[in-house]
Amino acid sequence: MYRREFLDLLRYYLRSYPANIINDIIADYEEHFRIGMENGKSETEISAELGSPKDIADEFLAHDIPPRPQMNSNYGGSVPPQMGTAPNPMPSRQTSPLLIILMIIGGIFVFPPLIGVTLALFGAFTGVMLALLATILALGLSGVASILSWVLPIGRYITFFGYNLHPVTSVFLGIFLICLSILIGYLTFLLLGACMRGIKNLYLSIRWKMAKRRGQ
Amino acid sequence: MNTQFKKGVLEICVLSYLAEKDFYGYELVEAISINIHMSEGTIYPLLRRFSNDGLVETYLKESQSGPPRKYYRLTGAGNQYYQEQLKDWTEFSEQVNKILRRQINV
Repeated sequence: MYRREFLDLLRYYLRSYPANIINDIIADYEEHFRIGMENGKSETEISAELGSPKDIADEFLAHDIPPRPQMNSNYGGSVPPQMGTAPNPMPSRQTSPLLIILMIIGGIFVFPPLIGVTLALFGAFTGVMLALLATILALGLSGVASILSWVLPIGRYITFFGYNLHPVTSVFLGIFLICLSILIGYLTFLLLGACMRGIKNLYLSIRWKMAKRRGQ
Repeated sequence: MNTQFKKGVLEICVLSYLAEKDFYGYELVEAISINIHMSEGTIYPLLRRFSNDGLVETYLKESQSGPPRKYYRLTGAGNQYYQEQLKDWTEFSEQVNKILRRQINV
């Protein structure tokens, strides 16, 4: 990796920091590259020795979250800071009994509608899927029937919207219907995949938010 | 070598070098990476953390070749922290070695 690429990546992974801190950090690595090159190393050599920008950024972020603005001032040297731990963890939240009662009452009123809505959504989803499945099946069977009616003549023409179809027409109609059913089947498959992915993303983002809240 | 080992030990190594004299970043990285093979980029996050915690302070100094370089100096608090870490480390490594030798000498 070249110098420019390395620094850009590092800048990208540090993007949650304010700009002045990012510039400060980047300046350190620029200096490192500069001195390394003065000592005859190539850009790619130096960046390989430094390691992955992602790992470096993670290292910065791991110890700076949550931010701790108050260090330096009251640090007289009597108690050395514990490395790697936040100096003032959040005070544990007190939950008053009143709040618990309110939450229970709220739960009683909120939960049944919530369950209802969830079930309704699930039902609608299942309904749509079943309808699509039925359509695919019906189209496919009609197609097969149209072709078979010619291959195995039962002595009847296919009637299509009141018209008696010529045997050749009915074969092509059958092919058309089968193709249509395959197409709809494929689209249904895509839709199902998209829904699954959406649900998975939703679940992941909710879990991530909860973990973040718990961590801070 | 186990990266978890290195992570834990890196801190005390950096402090040990800085207790001896002031270093600029590249110099410090070189000094450590000669002895311990590791991703050199991870020393800078450590230095920054030391600086945020008031264990280390930085200043710029002119160099013969090119622009000034950023030097790192151990503060009084940093030195005190180093002494304590050193004591802890010595005790800890003795305990661990005691356990390990029991296996080897049998």
